[in-house]
Amino acid sequence: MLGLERGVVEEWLSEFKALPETQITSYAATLHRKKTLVPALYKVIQDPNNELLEPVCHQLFELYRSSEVRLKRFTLQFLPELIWVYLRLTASRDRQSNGCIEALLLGIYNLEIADKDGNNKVLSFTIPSLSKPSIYHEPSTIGSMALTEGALCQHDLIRVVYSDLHPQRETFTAQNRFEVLSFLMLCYNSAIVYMPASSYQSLCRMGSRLCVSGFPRQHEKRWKEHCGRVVLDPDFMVQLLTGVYYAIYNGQWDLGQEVLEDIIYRAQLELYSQPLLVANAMKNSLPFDAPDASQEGQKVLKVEVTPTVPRISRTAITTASIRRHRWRREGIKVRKDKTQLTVSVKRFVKKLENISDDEAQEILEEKNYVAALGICAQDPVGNGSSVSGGEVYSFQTPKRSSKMAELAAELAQTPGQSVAPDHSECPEKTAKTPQSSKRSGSNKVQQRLQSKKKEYVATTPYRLRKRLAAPDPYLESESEYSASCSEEEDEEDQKEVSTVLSGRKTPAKTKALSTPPPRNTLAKKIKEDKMSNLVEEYFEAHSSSKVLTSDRTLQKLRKRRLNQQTLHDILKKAPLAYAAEIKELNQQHESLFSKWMLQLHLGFNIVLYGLGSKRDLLEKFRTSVLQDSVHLVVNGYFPSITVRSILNSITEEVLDHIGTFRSPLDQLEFIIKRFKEDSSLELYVLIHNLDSQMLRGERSQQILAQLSSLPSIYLIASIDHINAPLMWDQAKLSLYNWLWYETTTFSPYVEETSYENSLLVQQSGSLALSSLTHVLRSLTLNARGIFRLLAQYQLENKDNPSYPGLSFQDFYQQCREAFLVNSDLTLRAQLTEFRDHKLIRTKRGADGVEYLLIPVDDSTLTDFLEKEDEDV
Amino acid sequence: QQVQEDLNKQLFDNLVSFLRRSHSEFQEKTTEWTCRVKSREIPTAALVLGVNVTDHDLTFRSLSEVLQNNITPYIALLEAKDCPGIKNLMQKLMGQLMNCYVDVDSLEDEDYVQVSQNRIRCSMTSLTNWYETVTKKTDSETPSKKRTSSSRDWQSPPVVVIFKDMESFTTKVLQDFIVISSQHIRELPLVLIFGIATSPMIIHSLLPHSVSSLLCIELFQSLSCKEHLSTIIDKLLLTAQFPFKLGEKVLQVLINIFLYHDLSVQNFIKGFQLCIVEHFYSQPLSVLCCQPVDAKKRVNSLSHDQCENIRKLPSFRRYVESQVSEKQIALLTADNFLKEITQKLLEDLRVYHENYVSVLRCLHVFTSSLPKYPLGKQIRELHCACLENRVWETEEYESSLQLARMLNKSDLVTMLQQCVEIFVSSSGNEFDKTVEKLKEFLTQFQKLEAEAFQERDVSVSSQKELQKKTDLYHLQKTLLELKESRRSKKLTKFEMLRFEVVDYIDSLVRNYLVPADHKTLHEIAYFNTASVLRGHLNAAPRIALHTALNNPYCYLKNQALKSDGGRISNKAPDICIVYKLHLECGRLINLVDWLEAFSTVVMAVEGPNADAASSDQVDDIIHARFIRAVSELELLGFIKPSKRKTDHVARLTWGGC
Repeated sequence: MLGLERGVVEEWLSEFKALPETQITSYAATLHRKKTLVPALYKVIQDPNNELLEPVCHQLFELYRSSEVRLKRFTLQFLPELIWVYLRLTASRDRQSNGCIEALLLGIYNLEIADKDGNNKVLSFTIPSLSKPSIYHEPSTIGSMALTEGALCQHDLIRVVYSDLHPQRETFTAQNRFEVLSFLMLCYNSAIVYMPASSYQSLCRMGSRLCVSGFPRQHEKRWKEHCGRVVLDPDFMVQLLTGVYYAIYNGQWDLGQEVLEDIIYRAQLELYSQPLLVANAMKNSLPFDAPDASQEGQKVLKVEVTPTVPRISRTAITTASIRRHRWRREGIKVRKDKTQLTVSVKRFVKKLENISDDEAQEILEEKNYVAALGICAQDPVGNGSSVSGGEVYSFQTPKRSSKMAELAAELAQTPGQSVAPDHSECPEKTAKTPQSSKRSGSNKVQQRLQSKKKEYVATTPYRLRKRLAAPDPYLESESEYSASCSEEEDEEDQKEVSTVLSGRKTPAKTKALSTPPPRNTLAKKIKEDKMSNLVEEYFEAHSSSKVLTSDRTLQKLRKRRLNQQTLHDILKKAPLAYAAEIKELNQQHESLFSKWMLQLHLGFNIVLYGLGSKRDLLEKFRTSVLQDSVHLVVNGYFPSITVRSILNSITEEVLDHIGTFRSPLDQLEFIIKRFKEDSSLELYVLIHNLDSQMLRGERSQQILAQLSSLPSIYLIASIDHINAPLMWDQAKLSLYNWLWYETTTFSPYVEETSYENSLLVQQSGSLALSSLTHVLRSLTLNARGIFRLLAQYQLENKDNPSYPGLSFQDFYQQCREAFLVNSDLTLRAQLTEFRDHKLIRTKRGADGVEYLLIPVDDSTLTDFLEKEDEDV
Repeated sequence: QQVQEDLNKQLFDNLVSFLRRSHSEFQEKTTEWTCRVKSREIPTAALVLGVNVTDHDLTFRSLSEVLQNNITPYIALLEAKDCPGIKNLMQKLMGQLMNCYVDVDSLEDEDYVQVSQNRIRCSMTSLTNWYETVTKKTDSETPSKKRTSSSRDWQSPPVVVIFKDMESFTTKVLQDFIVISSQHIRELPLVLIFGIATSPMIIHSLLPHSVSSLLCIELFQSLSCKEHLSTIIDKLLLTAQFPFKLGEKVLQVLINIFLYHDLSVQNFIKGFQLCIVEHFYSQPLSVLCCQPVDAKKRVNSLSHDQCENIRKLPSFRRYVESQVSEKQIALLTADNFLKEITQKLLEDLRVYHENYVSVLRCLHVFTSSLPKYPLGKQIRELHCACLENRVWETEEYESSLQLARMLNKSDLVTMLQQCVEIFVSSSGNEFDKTVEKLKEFLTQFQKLEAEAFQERDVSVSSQKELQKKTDLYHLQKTLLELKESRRSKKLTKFEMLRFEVVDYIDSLVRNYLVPADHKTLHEIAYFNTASVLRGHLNAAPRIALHTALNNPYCYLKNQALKSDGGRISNKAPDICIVYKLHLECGRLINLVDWLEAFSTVVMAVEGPNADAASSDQVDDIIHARFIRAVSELELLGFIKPSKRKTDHVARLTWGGC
């Protein structure tokens, strides 16, 4: 940088500081006369390493903040250059050096989003209507014929579009960056008429560089500077186009066209529809050669400088102002509708078609609609007559109804039985009053039985005991259970559910229930009345979320927690009940193996369901039938299994393919292709627990379904979860082409549950505690202190279910107060240490703030703190 | 089993040809309609397909085949799941288009293949460029034979993009695609086809007006799935060509699944296939279920065991019992005689089927136009009714006959004509007489027409008389007379004839529509175990799980588990006990209480004499068993760990939430 320019800038910097308040206006008037200042400032901005950059940015912000509008504009003219430099630096990840530019941009943004009183600005734009005069037309000149009163009424709607509120921004993030920049471009565009030519050039330069840098097109440019690709946003590009449009017709013909091409190029690559639309329209409306702008300073697109209507809000003027073109020369034939480019794109699309087209289209659509209505109207009639109502509703399966009848029959028997308790083999069984049966009424039989069982078991919950007319002294003695009460609402819950179940089957049940005492039927009647407002009650019952259960915890039960190994050993020792019967069941299922094979070969896939582990069964199937064919066994219950690993094992081990795939879908395609090409390939896939946590996702199921639909892949899978069939929609079901087989084995889920993170099995707790103490013991005293602080804070907040963690800033504050750290960086270094040992977890909150959390449950944490206290 | 594979093939051929027929009309329409499309708009076809999503795949495949053969080689099929963003959409689109280009003339140039493999950055311009080069090439070279006719109408073949499931596309993607492509419509003649499952209004609710105004939409309605079903039933079940038949219950199950579950023709076919498989797998005599020529051969080569099998068939036994004793002995002892008889019976069965079908159609002609459709509107309902039992014994049949006796003449005549056509077209030679008879009826009706004039004269004159007489007595008298005559008029020639016709039809029905299970050897051709089918197609895993948990005796046949009157033994497997206990609880379950309860139950089984000293050891085992049972329940999805309270689990089913 030449000393001369440097001198100019320095002079400018010092000049303003010395300026008294009163002379600002006169200073503003003289500023533009300094011919050398502006180029010098551009040079400063372009060089991120210039030491003058920071004071210059500061100075520009000062100018912008001053009340003088001309000073504001002085700053604004550098905006394109600033944005370019900022985005370039961001893209190159050289964050350090653009701090001052970032601050300047944010400062301007935050100034612009609020009006003088500090309220947020809402920008509005009135969509012109035919009946009101606008810059496009005068209603009286359109002609009286078209504007009858009725027509006017229709067009009288004045639609105003409001912008969103722009929130204040503290920092740039990837999410808000282009929101801010688009708004800044909007501000620039609103003042574009006042900008000097150098600013237009800068704008064009910025546009073209942003669009092509890093892309192959950059090689065609004279500008060779190496730069990474800059991410762009469609809204920002539209704003950019608005500015460029003005620049094209105001002296920057060649530059402007170049940038237009570049923007189109970029928008095509990125497939941004809105910029494409605007840019194409601009391109199509360009005249053949440059407007005659030989006279310097003569503006081709002349814009009225002052708004005529004062109450139009400022940005409405900005968009409108560009539309207020008046063509001086007749040689320029820019069609009027093309000048509306700057209106929001949606409007634009409509305007582009001429109106008659539009109407014809509408009529056509209307016709379609009417036709469709006609079809619709015919259809229901056809349906209604072809399927009588009775048929539609008769879909209860016989199985189910018989079950319900069974229930009812059992119900009828129970009261009698409870009166005669002698049959029970248990001496503890107390006299059961019919009242209890009345209470549970025609609930599900399970519950009935359950209640009985419960009594016998002597762990009666409160609710049940309440039903008993004469509470049993024996039960009372074990009254530590009295705490374990469930509320009435629960009872209601269950009742409702049962009424839902029984509702459909009521007639059958009343027949069956004719024997029980009249009280029973009475209760039932009441319940039937309730059915009407059942829905309301359901929500009522579920609205209060309070559930009372006893407060006892496993820890108080002075029994050591078992770990996985001992559990396994103990269970091995315990004899398996009903081994003979289970074996018989299995043999039954095994007899089906040959049938399975046949059906697999015929293009069906087989799914097994029913209680009990089906792993052994499938293993047996594998060893007995699939011994000499290619097969793949997938242990779905394994917690880290993914579809990807399944696909990998197919490609690598079955197809002997080496190489990676970009996505599972690609991989799937490859597999499908291979299997289609080579018809001799056959693969049996056995999946244990198709419904496990990792495989039940929609995408994995989709992929598996597509895989299984291949004719030479035979899938046989098992499901256990009660809601497993909900995984599949019609499309997936038809891909899977399932045949269902009920294979209830009653064998324990040994393997499947060994990975389950069960509550009762002691697992991570001890591990976490020991690792905590170990790691911390190796750390410095200060580090321990830091961790203690975090732990204590977390324990204080343990009752807060939505506790997000401790924010970094607060944590830093606290640590400082405890004299644990002296700077931001040391704390961060410490936290990294913790994070590497998985002692803490960080996550970003909704507002972008970092929160710290110890991923250990509260009780472990308390234990830990206690231990620490002992040590100290 | 070869037979059965043949069947499958025929089945699919039928379906595909049917679909093709239904789509040829679309395609014709498309051609004429795209011609009048304005330049700015993208011609779009909205195809309303109905809710049977699973069948759409087949439909689209055949549609694109048709289009490919007739209009344009450039077709892309897009599915929503492949296109989460506009870029993926473009990529997919270009991949498909360029691939299909490669398919059309793969020998032409290898360099183009390379380009497409290089994954050029996809954009609309590269697409247009590609399109230009392709069309130029084909124009400059010899115009390909395929498109000689079509390329005259279109200077350049359009690019067809099919959106299979429009509803599941994200709106943003669709909008962007439409806006962008509308700018290129001049260079790239694009035609969009939307597959719509719900209603055509969805287009307007998905796309804002600014976008939908870029489209020139034409609506096409595809055939409803019910019609598909009836054609399939027509072609498969109601012909004598396929020896395999469905029993009444099975058919009912299949139709129910279709109507109440998925409305998917494909699934119906799948069920049908399954029936075939099951039948051939489970019924050893199903070898005889084949074309008559093969059947004869196979009957002759039957082994002794198979003969025994035949003898065991209940329908055959009935047949034997109805024979005279010598014949009985011969049937039960001599294999050769049995074979002869079997052949004869099989032939009988075949003839029965032929007759059955035509008479059924005939009956359907009569019943389908009756008010309220006592026997069902569709022929499948009638078919079911006939299979179920003797149709003429049902009330519905009675009432429909009653109604048929009140038909007017023109209807009756047309019906009779239809019947004649049916019988003539049917192959059975027994119907010659029937046809003659029906034709006779027709001629009689024509004769009646002439007589009708005279009758009308008579009635007119009587009315005139009525107007003449004025005094009360005479009026009464004539009214009575009129009444009398009206009563007697019932027996006019027309009515008598009508009765005759209906009676004749009735006799036909009684003769030919005998339910199949009254026929000897029907087991060979009919598949009747509906429960198996239902179990495999429409399974109820939840019910199975619940019965297993509630009533383990269903599966484990141990006397200790036998429950009388709903009482469940506490000897049940652990998981059952734990499940029962959990049913008693509300939304949250305290694990400690649960454990306590469990141990009490289990201890009671061991016997009350388990003293406190040994309880520690026992307790460990019980604890372990409890843990296992709980984690099994968790695996089954009944509970899940809850963080709301320490050592609690949340219940997920029935009263939980």
